[in-house]
Amino acid sequence: MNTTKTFAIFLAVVITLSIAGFTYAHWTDTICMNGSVKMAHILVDIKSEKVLISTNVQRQYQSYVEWEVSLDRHTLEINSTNLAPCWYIWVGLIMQNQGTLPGKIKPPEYTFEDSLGFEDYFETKEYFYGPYPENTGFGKLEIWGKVEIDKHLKSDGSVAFTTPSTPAPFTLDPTQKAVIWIWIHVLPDVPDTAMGKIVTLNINIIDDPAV
Amino acid sequence: MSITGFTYAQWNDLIVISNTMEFGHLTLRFVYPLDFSDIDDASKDVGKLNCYYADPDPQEGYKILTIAITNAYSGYEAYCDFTLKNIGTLPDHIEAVVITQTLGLEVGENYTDVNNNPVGWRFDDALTDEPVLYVYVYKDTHSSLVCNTLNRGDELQSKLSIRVTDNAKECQSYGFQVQVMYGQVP
Repeated sequence: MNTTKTFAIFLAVVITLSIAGFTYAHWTDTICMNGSVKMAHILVDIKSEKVLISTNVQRQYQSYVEWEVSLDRHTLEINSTNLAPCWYIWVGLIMQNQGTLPGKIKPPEYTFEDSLGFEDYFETKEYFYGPYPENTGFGKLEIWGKVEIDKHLKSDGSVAFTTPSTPAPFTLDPTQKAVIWIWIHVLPDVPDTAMGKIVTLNINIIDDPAV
Repeated sequence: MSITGFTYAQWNDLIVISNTMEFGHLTLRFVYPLDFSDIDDASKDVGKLNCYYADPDPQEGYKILTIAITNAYSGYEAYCDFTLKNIGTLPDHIEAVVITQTLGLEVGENYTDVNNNPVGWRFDDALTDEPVLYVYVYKDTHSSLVCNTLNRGDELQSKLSIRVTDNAKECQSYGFQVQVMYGQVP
């Protein structure tokens, strides 16, 4: 009797499992969508630079200027000596958009590292030219290769080029170049207390994505 | 008796029943039309978008849809209109849409339709927890692919959209995979 009962239970379990197995079978499959997003970047480099000081200023003030472009080509550091009232220099840069996005070139921002308040005795003006294609021969352009201080770049901060300047902001597409000339001038009323002091001026050329 | 027995032996026959049974199959594939566009216009063609099907099925359609964006920028948006088709013999029921992402991204938030089925995901930068990408997959504006049944030969027009946020980093690459899981009609 016991053997029959055990066999019946075993048979019931086998039948139940086989039915359950069939019920569980459920066919499935998948298909895929693969997405990738590679971000662009903005990069404006200094390709060439000029720091021009008038021979008159050099002679009158015995002023000398040295400059260096950083390895990453983003910063121009200028060291000037013997500044005095009405001293001025012209700083020129050829910039190139080496990024993959159009850049919006805006007027430079000037920041002084000066706790003595002499920053109020400096004035600046800037002129942009371009944009130019990458393979432009700048040596032949009046605004770069043939530029002369006191002839094209005046002591009063004006320019005498036949090429019109480009009002900022303007768009610089990838690989395009632009020229900027900056006039830095010490005002005539700078006080005597400025004598012997060191003032650092940082010129930041701002470019935002033009999109 | 010997004559009768002999006669009986002559009277017999055989009936054969032949039955061929073929199982059905579940197959969902990407088929054309496939269209794509982005927010750039003719005056500003910066971001580059390419969408294409890959891994063709010998019968019809493709197994993979690839969406490749390069030179993307903050605020960039891309749209891909693709088509799903049941090329199998059994009805396909879309059971789930599962998303996975590359290293450096994590799912910050899920978005669902009125039936609580998935339609979108927000990907955050794994380091900063800032949102960088929004990805949506849907059959129309507010409706998920999940719980749709495609009978044999049926097609389903669907969309995928991607939006890049202001937090996306320069030169960075982001990737994700959307798996559409389908099975028998329950």
